[in-house]
Amino acid sequence: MKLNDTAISCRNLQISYEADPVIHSVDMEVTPGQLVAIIGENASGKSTLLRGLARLQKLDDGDVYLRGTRCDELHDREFARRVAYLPQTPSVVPDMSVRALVERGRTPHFPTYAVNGSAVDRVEVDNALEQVGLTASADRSLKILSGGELQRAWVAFALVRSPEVLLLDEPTSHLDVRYQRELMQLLSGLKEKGIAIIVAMHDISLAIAFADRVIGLDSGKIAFDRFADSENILEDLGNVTAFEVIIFSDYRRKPCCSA
Amino acid sequence: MTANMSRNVFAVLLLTGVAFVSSLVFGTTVFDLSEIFRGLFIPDSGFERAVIWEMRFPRSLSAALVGASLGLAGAILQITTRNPLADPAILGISALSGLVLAIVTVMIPSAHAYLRVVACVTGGVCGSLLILQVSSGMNSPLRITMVGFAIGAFASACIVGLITGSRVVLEFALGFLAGGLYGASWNDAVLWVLWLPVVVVVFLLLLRRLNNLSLGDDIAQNLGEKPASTRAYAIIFCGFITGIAVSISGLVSFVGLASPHIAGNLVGRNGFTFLFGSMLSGMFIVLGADTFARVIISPSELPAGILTAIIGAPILVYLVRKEV
Repeated sequence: MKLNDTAISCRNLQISYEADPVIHSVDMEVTPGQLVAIIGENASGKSTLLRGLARLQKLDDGDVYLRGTRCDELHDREFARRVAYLPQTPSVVPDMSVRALVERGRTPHFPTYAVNGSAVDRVEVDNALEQVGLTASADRSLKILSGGELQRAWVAFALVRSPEVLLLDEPTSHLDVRYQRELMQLLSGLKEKGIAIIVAMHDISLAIAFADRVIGLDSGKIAFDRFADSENILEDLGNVTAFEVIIFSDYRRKPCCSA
Repeated sequence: MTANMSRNVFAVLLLTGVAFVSSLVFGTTVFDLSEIFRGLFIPDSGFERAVIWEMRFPRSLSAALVGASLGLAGAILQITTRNPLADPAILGISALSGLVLAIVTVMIPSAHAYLRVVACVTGGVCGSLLILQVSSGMNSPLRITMVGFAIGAFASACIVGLITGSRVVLEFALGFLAGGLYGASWNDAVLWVLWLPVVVVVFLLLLRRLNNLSLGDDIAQNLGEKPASTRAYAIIFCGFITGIAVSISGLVSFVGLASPHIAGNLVGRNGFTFLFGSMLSGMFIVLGADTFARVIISPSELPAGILTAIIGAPILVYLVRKEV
């Protein structure tokens, strides 16, 4: 595959925290419209890898590329327009309405010092709200949303800038089973737009059910990288998690509970 | 912004206006509104002109400037350090500003009023730079607060040391440490002319960055901002406006802490409305405190600095309890 065909890729990525290496020469490529789940135990380097891809972490070595262009060569705001990142628990819940939050997500498209966007930006905000099903709650305060709604508001915040790449760090970790599946369905739906989505997560069943590809991370190295429907994936997952992984009922690709 | 919040913005604006007019009405002599109008607009209105135009009006303008500065600085510091207890006094910026003023006053007892302003602003800005320098490399906003707190305690001790060691400034020191607007004049009120353009420019340049910073450093950076430099510019700006406030009123506490919470409860913690609301809340507290300070033991007066908490604390406690 040519580098230009990939939405985001990295070569020989090495990252350390205070001289402790956390990510060891990771190579990966994600194509547009692909949903990739990164699975691994705590401290396996999932978050650090995502932060490295999002340019939030200093790289010891290696490069991150967006459609073949080295990210270092991109201006901060251009990078921001193209790559959206959501941390595990985005800060505290801000004291503002859903719409105000989503508008903030659009700021990389505003003129340099502008605080508010144009009419086009407002249309994009409406579209993003509609996409995550929060149009009716647009003027409600984030503080009174359910966990699932709040996470969807953050997804709208990330989507509103029309990114090429979406990086999500454990977006399902605080949600109950229904909201977890709802969110993964929502992310699956975004693939049609050609967005490359990389999700760090713990839930193996969700990963297999919704991701196109599963990457297993073990002590900062890629342990395996397989399509979710490949034969050997259960064995690979077993090796990374130190458990035997069995799928009792194969619900891959089947429609799940409706919202 | 919800309809409720728009209504609250209007209410805060109105209350601040009422506080301003009250500060012109009440004092040793109580004037009615027609007398105030004459005092303000008719140059040869005698007694009213002398009291209102020469004394009360500039003093009220100065009180409003102090409140606006401390309210705004408090709101910006709470956003940048993500600490709800941050304010210019707690972060040591006021004390550092005061320390430079104390040094200048001890060295040049007859210093011109504007030299004192320069001293305070220099102290505020240098204080901010010092806090940033000492806390540099520390990524945690909480650490900036800790460093500021330590430096502030050190500066306060130095001020008291300087004052007790030098008899020259004892009189100045008493009003300065308690904080108040005794003797505020047109010399102080004209500082609005310096303050306003700086604040407008900073709002234009920093508002969006501050908005995004309030969502957390990682998210701000992913929105294309530079959180560390936003934080640095914002804290230096707070040093500047705190310096202006200190030059007028000395060390007035509580306003910077309470105003952002009052504003946050009434108009939300989002964008311009929050900063503007905090500015107005600060004005309201200082104007109210200064009016009470002149009325309570009239014809003598109390330092307004000890009354800011008396005005602000009940409002803060009421709003915090209501929120729960």
